[in-house]
Amino acid sequence: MTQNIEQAALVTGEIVEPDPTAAEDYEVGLKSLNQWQLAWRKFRNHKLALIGLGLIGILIAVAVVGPVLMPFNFTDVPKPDEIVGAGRAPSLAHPMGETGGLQRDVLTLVVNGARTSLLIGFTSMAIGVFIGTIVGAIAGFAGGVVDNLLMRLVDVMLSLPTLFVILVASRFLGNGTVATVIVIFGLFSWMGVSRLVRSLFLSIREREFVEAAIAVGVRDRRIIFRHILPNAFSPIVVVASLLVAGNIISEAFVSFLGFGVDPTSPTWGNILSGGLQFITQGNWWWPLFPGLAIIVTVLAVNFVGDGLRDAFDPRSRA
Amino acid sequence: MTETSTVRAGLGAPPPEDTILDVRNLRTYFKVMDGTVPAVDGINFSLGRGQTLGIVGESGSGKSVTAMTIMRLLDIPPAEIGEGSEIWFDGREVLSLPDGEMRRIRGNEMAMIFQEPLTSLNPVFTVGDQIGEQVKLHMKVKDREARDHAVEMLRLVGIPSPERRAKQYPHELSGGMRQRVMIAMALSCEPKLLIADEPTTALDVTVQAQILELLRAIQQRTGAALMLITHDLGVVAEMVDNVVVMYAGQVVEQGTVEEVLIEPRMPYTMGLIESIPTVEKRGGKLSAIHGVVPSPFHLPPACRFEPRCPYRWETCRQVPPELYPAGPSGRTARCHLHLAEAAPRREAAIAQHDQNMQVGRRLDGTPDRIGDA
Amino acid sequence: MMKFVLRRVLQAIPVLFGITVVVYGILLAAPGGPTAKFANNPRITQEQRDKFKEAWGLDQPIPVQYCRWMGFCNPETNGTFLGSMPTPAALVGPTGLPNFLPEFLSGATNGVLHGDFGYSIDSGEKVSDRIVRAALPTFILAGVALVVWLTIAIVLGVYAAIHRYSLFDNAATVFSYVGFAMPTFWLGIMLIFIFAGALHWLPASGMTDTRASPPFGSDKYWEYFGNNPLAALGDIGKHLILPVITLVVVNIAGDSRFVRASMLESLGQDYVRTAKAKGLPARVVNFKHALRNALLPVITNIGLEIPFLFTGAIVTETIFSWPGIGKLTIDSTRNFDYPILMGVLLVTSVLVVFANLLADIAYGIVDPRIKY
Repeated sequence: MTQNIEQAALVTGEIVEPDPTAAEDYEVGLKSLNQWQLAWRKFRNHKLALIGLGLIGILIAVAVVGPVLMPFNFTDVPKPDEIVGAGRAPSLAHPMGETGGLQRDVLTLVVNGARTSLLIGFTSMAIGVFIGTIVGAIAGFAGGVVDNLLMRLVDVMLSLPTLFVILVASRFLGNGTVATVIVIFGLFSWMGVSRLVRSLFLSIREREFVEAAIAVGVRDRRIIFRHILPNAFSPIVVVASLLVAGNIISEAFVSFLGFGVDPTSPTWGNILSGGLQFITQGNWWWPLFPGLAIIVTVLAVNFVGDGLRDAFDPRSRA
Repeated sequence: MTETSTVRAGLGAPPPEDTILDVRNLRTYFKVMDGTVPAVDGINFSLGRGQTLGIVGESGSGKSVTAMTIMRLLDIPPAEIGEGSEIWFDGREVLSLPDGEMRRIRGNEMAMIFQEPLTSLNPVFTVGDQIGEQVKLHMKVKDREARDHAVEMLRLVGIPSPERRAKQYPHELSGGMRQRVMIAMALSCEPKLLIADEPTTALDVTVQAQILELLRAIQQRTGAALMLITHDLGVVAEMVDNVVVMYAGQVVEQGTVEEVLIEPRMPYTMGLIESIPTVEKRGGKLSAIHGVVPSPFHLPPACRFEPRCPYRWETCRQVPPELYPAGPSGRTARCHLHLAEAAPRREAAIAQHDQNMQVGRRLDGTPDRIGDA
Repeated sequence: MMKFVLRRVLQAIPVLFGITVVVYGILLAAPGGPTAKFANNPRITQEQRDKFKEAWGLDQPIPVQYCRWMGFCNPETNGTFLGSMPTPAALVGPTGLPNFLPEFLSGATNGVLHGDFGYSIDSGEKVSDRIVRAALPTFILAGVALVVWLTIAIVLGVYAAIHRYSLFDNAATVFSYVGFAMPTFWLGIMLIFIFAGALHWLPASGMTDTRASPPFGSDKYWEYFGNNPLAALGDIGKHLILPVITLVVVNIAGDSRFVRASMLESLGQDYVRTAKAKGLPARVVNFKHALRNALLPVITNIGLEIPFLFTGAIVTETIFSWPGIGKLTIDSTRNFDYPILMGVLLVTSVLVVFANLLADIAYGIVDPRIKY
């Protein structure tokens, strides 16, 4: 396409040869990020998620280090100068007040409770995700009768009102230890995850058959995993965060009823349990603070879950 | 007698009586997280009563946004209409009308057909219901009359057994029929202006022809003006009287359909025409305009087409071109080639374009040149 | 349509059986079984425990117990097959027909399939009677809560979606985050403290004022109700306020976000753009075109949430001593009262399965795109 241009150039003396790379000058502004970088960027912009992450960090720090730093042991019964049956309101020495009955420091109880409650929440979620992934993978991979059976099992488990069953199981099988509670909760947390993982594996299976037909090779299978797994990440993370939140609340209730963890290890739930009877005597701080602790924790977990979900959602803006 | 509220001070004079739509200096911005996007950046065009105007451009050129702005269907944040923009419809300036007035015009005197008929129809209401509600609203008639009118409209657009179809849901109809329903809906209140945004893009070719035929017939019958937005030059060639070519939010060429399609005078349009694969071009290389449409955040400083233009020179990088006259009949092109001093370049470019159009061989193998009888 | 319903009911049957097996399994997994309550009581001899077991049929192997409990097996027939499975003879009812058939065919009256859930170990009352007695208070509580929660959630969610990013929307978002994070029982406790303990405006527990009226559900109560309907209703109403608030806050928090999201998605659809292009006023666009579509996923969600009504009821009923099924569950769990517990679990699970079925059907009716 140069002939006439050159003639024109001869006339006017100036011409710029069209430069095939010139159009790319104007594309420089867009960097291409990979999936994880994109997700991190979106997460960073999500203010609530960052707050949540921060809160969780603080909570974990409190849980790990707190009990060591507390001036009291949670079993300490301070020798009070006066006996106040219903406990004393928050004061400088006891910022969250004292319990009734044994008059223990509520702050210490809450801090110690953090350890157990958080441990239960996260570990039972981990168990649930683990079991759910395995079940879902088997169901999705094997297909057919196995898949059907497993999914019927999931249906059955989901039809039983979870709290009911956990309560009953905790009462009947529980022995008051933290480990038992974690196991029981974990055993009832896997159903949602299994469904997700199953659909993921179903889609892998279909593609694999296509690949086999074209007879491509191992490399592509790995590519499939690299592409598909990040897609699964988002919904699993959301479910996981809901699980942590839900399990913390459920554990609180179960312990509150006395079916869960023994008061020898405080959890926010069994701390609340003691508080109910003294409420009519005007002790509002004893149940208030553990409850607030639960709320803050669950909020933080939900924020992070929301942030992660938005971060991995391909439709949301970066 | 117009009762236009001159809420916006300093409006220009209304256009002549035979002009149904006059767009002046329209600017529409979108404020998004990464900045401000000038989707439509100062365009002007007009449409006479009963005439057809084609707006041509790639995705992202701003043509759909133009239509949505005319109908005032944009959500005002994040969209924003620039100061000094005026849209005159039927003697009234539309951008300054209060919402209630605009609603009376929309669907009634000015109607729009969208690209995707399946998603554009509400899946939970019957087709007859959806046409009927518009009729009831604007023509203030009762249920029964509205229903009858809806059936009549369905008949008008060529849907067989219209009474039965009116009771069906959108998912029960085929793509072509759904588009006919959209057309029936748009026409139900006898609008003076019909805006069609890519009406046939989602349909297959045979149905496409039918729909276009239908639009033309309706137009002749009702005398409505038609603004046809498309990226398909074939559709443009068939249907329109005048053409406006848009690129990166600006009008880059304007004229009658013969002028613009047969003798384009702006390198972008030339590139578009050259890239149409025709039988004459058999055996030659398919040509394309190299490069990509610029990101709205990184628009070239002067001529927006410059990075991709085969005929550019320094001025193109320094001075933004205006819409210069490109011929005796009032056609214009936004290109420095039409400056008086660039006449030799212009000749060279036109000649080059002609040569590009000849690439290829005749079916019997001999090269083909324009000019051989 | 009927085919669909039939198909779903048939699909539900194996699930229901699975439920019975799991329920039975969990309860039997407890060490010691129902004699566990005697475990710490030194005065009950082993002989007395054995007699107790025999009287309740607990000395039989587990599959036989399950079979009798379900109503497949005739409780009069002893003997086992292969060590633990019930003999074929046991499957036959008094009239000679299979035992699981309705009473008028098989003569059998035992088992879940015949509506016999056994007797409470604690009170000796028929389990089915006890459950029915507890059902009415729960239905009142759950019913009122359902209506309140649905109405508020939908109104909140729709309004927040229409006025996105407004102050209202942000406030609603904050509320829903916090409300969702709140443990229901804690909220109940706090409410009791504020309104009953400190302010004395509302009663702290129970369903009726026991000083003013006979116990709820008894015949004397209905007599009282007949004589003073307004006072009785007002009394129940006063007692309903705090429990209902406790029950609904969490659900409103979660659901209003869901409604909002669904409404936002609907508002972003092309057909809403078309509706605006037709010149329809905003009210019609939002409430006729957008809302109708937005409610479709909400309906399914409601069906899935009905189980939460039951679990929420457990919590609330416990805190407020509301004499319903939730409290029954807790009490019987505490006391190892197996028959009641099994009955309750079974009934609620079956209700859940049917709630899901109803939700599916409702969705099918409302969405014209679904064909059965």
